Amino acid sequence: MNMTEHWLQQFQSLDKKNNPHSALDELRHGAFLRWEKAGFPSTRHERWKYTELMGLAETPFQLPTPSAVLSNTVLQTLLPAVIENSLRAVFVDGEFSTALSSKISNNHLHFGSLHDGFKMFPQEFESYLESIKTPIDSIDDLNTSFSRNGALIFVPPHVKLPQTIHLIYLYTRTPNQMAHMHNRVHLAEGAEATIIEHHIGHDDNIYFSTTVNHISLEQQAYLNYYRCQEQGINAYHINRLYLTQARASVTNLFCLDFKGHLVRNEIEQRFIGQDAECHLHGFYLGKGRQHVDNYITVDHQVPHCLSSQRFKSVLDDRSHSVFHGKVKVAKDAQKTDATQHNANLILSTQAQINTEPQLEIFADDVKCAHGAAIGQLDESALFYLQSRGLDKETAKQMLIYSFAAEIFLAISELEIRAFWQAHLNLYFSGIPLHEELITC
Amino acid sequence: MKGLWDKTKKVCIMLSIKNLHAKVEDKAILKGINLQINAGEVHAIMGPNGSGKSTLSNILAGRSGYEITDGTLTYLGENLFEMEPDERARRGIFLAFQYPIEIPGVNNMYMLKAAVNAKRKHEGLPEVDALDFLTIAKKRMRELKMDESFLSRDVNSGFSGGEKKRNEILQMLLLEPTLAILDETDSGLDIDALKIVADGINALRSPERAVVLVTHYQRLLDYVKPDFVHVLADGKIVRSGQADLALTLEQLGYAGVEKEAAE
Ligand SMILES: Nc1ncnc2c1ncn2[C@@H]1O[C@H](COP(=O)(O)OP(=O)(O)OP(=O)(O)O)[C@@H](O)[C@H]1O
Ligand SMILES: [Mg+2]
Repeated sequence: MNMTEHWLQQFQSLDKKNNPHSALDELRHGAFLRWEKAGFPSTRHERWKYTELMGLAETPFQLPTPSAVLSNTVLQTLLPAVIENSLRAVFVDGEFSTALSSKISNNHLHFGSLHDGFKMFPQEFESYLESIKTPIDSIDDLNTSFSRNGALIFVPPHVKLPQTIHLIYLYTRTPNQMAHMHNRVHLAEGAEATIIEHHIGHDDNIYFSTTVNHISLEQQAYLNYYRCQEQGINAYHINRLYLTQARASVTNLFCLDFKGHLVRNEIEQRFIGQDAECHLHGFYLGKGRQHVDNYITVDHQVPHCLSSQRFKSVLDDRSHSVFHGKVKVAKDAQKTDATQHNANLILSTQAQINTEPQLEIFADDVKCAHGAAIGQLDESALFYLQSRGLDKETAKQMLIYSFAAEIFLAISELEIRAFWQAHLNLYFSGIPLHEELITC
Repeated sequence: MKGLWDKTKKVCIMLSIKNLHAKVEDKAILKGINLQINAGEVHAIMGPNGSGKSTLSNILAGRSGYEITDGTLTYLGENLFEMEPDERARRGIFLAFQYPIEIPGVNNMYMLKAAVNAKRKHEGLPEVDALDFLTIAKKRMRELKMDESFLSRDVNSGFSGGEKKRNEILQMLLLEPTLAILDETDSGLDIDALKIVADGINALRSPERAVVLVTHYQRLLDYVKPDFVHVLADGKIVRSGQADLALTLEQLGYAGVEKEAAE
């Protein structure tokens, strides 16, 4: 069987499982035809210049079979620590797991089948159809063809979600498995939410997942969003996040990448109302041959908006970091304030970085700053710490940690900051790192 | 004390520098330094800008980047060149930097506690816990008239010149070094701060310890009376004397003293 036949077979197997919902199905078929024709984007594609998907294209990924799914007891061990006052929605290989999830008694939320979800929120279906009609590239089509599950979070006007939504995506041990998810978040006027999208996977096998998120904020809505991946060291993961912000809405978004083999994170942000703010922060810890690509577009279409991007990476071994951050400022978007910064700490001569902070400005009265830095550990700081009696390794870890910590200290929700700092500490294997950093 | 007992003088030799030559990027900076520092002594090193005072201090603390072309460095009977900077520190050498390094992101209190515990561990003592440490640190800070908020800030980050110097002295008081080298700690201090810092140094003075003060000014020496004063010029000690040498320097200037020495 060649790859075309393989994908067709996978799609057809899915067809059997699908609930017939004419509009949805029609759309999926359309998307699949486009996907079949285009396949994975190549590096000739400007958006994919630094990220090679050949390895993906050559592997016959399969949708999970129910028998392959691990027992809940095994899965429990993969789950991250519980965040205080959070509601957990756990997906296993793309399927919602009621057993592992919190009990949901909130009628603004739905987890699991999109088909069922749109029955619950029929008014949202139109916007779903609308949003997936114009794919950026074949990855959107792939996701539309295969995603049947996800999280639907629709917060009504002036409602503040009382709990942090902790979306946990687990990937199990089956080789060559794939999972595709589609999440939608809509915050109505003045609504508030904190959402964590957390991907965790096994190191044992190659697997592939895509997640497409559509997030929209109406005026004065407020969103804290944390997207974290601790994928397996052989995992391919493509994550695309569309974000639209209306007047005076605020987004604080953190992208935390601790693992994965090849990870592509995209953010396609758009301001459509004035006085809105969008703060994007990212941290990537690269080891081995990991490759993480952050591809970001912030689009100031209207005046008086504020955006910031602050991405940092620490790269060891032969890891590779790509940062592409574009700020677009439309002709009318006067008084735009946009900053963009990418800083990289290199610990190995074989690590690789491509950084492209870009400004595309058509307005004349704007404040825009961008910069990129690539550096090694500061020798004089290292000597200073050593001269105080700290051995070289400890001193190094302290400096690396401090470099990374800046991103984490920008998290204003203390509970959640502590949660992610604990992750960071864990990845700084063996060095105890220290509550003082948080509490002082 | 483990150091070498000098029978003739009945003193314990803490540091012995013999014929020390050092280069930086092929430029000779130290051109044959000889100096013996005994336990209990305070030595002042003075000398014009660029004469090699900081180079000497840095070499004592183990900073890399210098090529030692000749000479020996013996601390309490052991070859200093064989020790990494952190080991020297754990064995009691402390350098207060002329220009303390800012380390954004590393919490001051955390660094201080880690440093104190690294030394205690080396000495076979139990680590101090966070609370005990805080109590000790706060006490020292009161003595130095430092605001407690400096503990929660990042190491030297955004500190004013004088605040950085006080932070160095705080570290010194907490680490209780055997050999303290203070590289122009008095520069950039206001008059009150100078008095406070001097009190800090005097508090450390004891028969088991030694202090090296690198300074340009008599002012500090009014408060911390040195046993010996040395003049370092062009990589050599051109003159050594007692406390009154500093006063002579003040009158004649370095050029005058060098000329006097040459005659
Ligand atoms: N890394 C370096 N590269 C080149 N030259 C250096 C380096 N470090 C020191 N030097 C030179 O060595 C000489 C001695 O410098 P040092 O800092 O030891 O002087 P100093 O006596 O401490 O002066 P000051 O009183 O100004 O502090 C100077 O000429 C200085 O420029
Ligand atoms: Mg100097």
